[in-house]
Amino acid sequence: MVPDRRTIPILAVVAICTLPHFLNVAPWVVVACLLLWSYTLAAVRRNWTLPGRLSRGTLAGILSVLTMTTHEGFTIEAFVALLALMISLKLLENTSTRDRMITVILCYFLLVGGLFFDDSIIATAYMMFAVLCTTAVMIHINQGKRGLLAPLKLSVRLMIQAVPIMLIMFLLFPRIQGGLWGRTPVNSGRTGFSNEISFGAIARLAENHEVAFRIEFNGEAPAREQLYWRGIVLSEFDGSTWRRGNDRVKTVPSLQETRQQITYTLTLEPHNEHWLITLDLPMRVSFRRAWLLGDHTLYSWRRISQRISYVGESSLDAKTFGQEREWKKGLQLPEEGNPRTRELAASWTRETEDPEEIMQMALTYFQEQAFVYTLNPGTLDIGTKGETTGAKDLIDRFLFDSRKGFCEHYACSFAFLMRAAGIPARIVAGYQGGTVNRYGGYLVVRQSDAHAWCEVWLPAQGWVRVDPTAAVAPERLQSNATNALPAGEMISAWSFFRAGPLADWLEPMASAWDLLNSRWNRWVMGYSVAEQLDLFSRLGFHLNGQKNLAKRLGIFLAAALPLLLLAGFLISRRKKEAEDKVASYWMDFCQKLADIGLARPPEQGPRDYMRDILKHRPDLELSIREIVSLYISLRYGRQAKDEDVRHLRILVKNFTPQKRRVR
Amino acid sequence: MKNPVSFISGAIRKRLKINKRTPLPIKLRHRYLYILPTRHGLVFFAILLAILIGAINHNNNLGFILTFLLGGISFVSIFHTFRNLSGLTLLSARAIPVFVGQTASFAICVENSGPPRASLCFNFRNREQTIFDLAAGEKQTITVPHATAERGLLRPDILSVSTTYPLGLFRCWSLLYLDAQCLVYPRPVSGPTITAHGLTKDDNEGKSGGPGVDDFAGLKNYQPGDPLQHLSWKSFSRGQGLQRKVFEGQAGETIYFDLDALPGQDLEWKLSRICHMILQAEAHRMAYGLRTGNHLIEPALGGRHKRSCLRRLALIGQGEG
Repeated sequence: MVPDRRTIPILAVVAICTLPHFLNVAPWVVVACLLLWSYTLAAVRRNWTLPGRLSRGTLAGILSVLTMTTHEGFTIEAFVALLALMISLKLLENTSTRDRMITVILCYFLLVGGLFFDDSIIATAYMMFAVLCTTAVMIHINQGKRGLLAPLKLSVRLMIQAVPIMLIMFLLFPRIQGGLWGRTPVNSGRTGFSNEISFGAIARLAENHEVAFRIEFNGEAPAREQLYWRGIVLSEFDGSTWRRGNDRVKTVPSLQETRQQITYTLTLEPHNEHWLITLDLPMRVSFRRAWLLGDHTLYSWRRISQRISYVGESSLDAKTFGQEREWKKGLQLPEEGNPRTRELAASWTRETEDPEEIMQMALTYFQEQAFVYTLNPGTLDIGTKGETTGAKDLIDRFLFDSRKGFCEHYACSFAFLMRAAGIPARIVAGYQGGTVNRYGGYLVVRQSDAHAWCEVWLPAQGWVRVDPTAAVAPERLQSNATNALPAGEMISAWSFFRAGPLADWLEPMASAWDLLNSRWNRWVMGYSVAEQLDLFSRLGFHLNGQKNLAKRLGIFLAAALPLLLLAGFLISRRKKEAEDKVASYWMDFCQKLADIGLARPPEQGPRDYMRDILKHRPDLELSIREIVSLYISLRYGRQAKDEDVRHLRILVKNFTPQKRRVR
Repeated sequence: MKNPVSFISGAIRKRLKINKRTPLPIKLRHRYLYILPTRHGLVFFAILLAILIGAINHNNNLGFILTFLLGGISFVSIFHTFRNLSGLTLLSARAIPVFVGQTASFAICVENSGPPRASLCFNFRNREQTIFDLAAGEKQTITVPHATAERGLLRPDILSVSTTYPLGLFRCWSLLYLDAQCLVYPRPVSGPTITAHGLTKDDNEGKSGGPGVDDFAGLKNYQPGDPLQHLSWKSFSRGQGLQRKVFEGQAGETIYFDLDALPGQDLEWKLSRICHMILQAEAHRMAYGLRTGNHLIEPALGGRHKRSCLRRLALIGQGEG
């Protein structure tokens, strides 16, 4: 079996459809695909004999087993990898139209896998491009000729004609809240902090500029220093890592003395964790599948694997006292470790018993000692004096030796100091600040805005937010982490674009692009049940209550079927119009003559008709001859030129025979 | 049931009682055309359904977009496929006579008054396909092979005119019982040449001999159908017009093939034998006559004579003669 040159366009389409998956599948799959493609290409070029059925089958078996063992379970990644490999293998078996068609149809299926990983504008545009190419190759398979240009043109035409159908179906097809059954998890690394924090956890995010969420405020946005975005609360410490803990208080403590309330719409990018982000402190949130916990965080029972949008209401100045259990948990410390830190805290408690004063002493300590806010704190495993003191005394070494750290170093040490001094404290992880989009007026918070701070329980005020980072680097609250860091520490493309000489040019473009993405996410990718019900009510169908799925299905069918038929009618009608123009001008001409009493007998052709008319009206000879001869050449001649058709129209329009006067 | 499409189309045909022969020319319009998904189309729709279910389950709007885009493309392709065939005109169909067992080639003249058409597929039932393209306004004659099983006037089987262009997901087709025919001569069977001289003297009396190939007897004006080998090019070059050399066979050498003179009972076998003898005589340029029952074809030579003899053989016992 020798390969066919017609395999090459198919190979190209397979590559186009597989490329976006290379980021998500195991590296060896990428290599295997590339090898198979190169082999196919070489086999076509050099006319190699292709491997037989047995070797192909064996290879398919080996590849399937490898895929299943190297990917964790039957996830979408595994499915995509398997499909990509099998299609690439199928290229070696491309002898009949049937093989080619199946390969190309499977390419469409491969495209779908990409939708689970990325639904940005660029991903959508790429998908459209891939559909265009795949359809063109499908046409190429079904035509006898060789060229690819004509199939591409026809493919564009088919797509343009299909777009209105797509839009109508997209808007009207009934959406189901929550889907049909469970979802296959997508394992690809979603970024964001996890449910535990140790030194270096947030510094790792500092160079990640992916959007974490976007917020639109109803009304005035609060001051930047107040934009603390609450994610999770960590209150268990084992000596090196702060954890969320399993003991959760479900009773939500009531907020007291709230004066400044803020309402906002937050669109959260998927992070594959359970928590929702809210402005500190949240009061209520319009997301039904999440509940508010005692530590004022929001917990969703499903992992957030899709972009979600919710309206939140928060209070900027509320007081919360919480439950006794809660603040007792805020005193937990490991039995031993970090003796110097404990000694420092003990020295403060000997001076005063007022927790507020102790808190101030701690902040003053951070301000007065030579602490540096930096992304690169260096390793803390080895003390300055060279002795290895084990992993348990990291806080000691940070506070007394290195004194270089990012926000989590300060938050963790501060919380430890407070606990050691007998003041309940906990760590809050989330985001701080954000960038206002200059066109959209909304706020964009990126992963690089991730932040950790503390909450301290004071008997008179309840839980109070304390941000030790602000004591060390007050600039952090004024702008983002990048600008608060020492010069030269963030030399990445991003910081160059953000702060370099091109910044003034690029910033508006970046803002516009983000606005476009935000609108796309909100209106196109976020179109769901609520939006559909809204659309239906605008169209005059007011559907309320739970059981409206059947009704929506009914509307969909009732609207879609006639529209589809109309579309089909329009498509099949188009060419006929051009064909019949000449006839309609001829009819006009005959009608004009009929009006003066010279109707054409139905059996008469144009020549005989002309001869008969000229017998009666020789005075009209010139114009009639011109029209009839042009009509004959258009109707019966080889090719009808557009300009001749236009000329006929003008001649007929200007032809105004008068009735002969009776003398 | 080999092919679901042909099964269904057969059923439709039975139901609509389309057994009447269609006279040509015929313009393929809605009532002659059927359209259904191909097997690839069914696979495509199965995959589309899978994508749709995935999109519903994951509430993935990009999945919906892809499903509806592909659905839209395939829907639109129905009309493109339909338009690729609709309005095609079959002007005429004729075929050169062949011998039994040979493939009859129907030359079908098609005219395209509409937009360009691609990958049109013509075939008689269970025979190979002829695939061709037609430019806008083009007229083309295509040959479609047809099997021959017995001598006589072959009335063609159902002609399937179909296309799956552009996407191969739908097949639009028309089934036509063309009102055309092809003459099928008997299959030549070799054997000894048996001639019959037993003709009455009266038949030859007063003539100097039947027309033969041996002796040059003079020139005659050319008439269409005369053998080209006998054209007198010399006199033509002298400006005397087209003339034909006339030969005379010697009296005893005029051969007749007589169906009844052949031994044996099997008519078809006897026809096959005579068919072979005629071809032999023609090859050896020997004038021959043919007698079948009480029908006589005078001895002669040349393509026209051969064809009329073979035609006679082909149509014996078929009510047309």
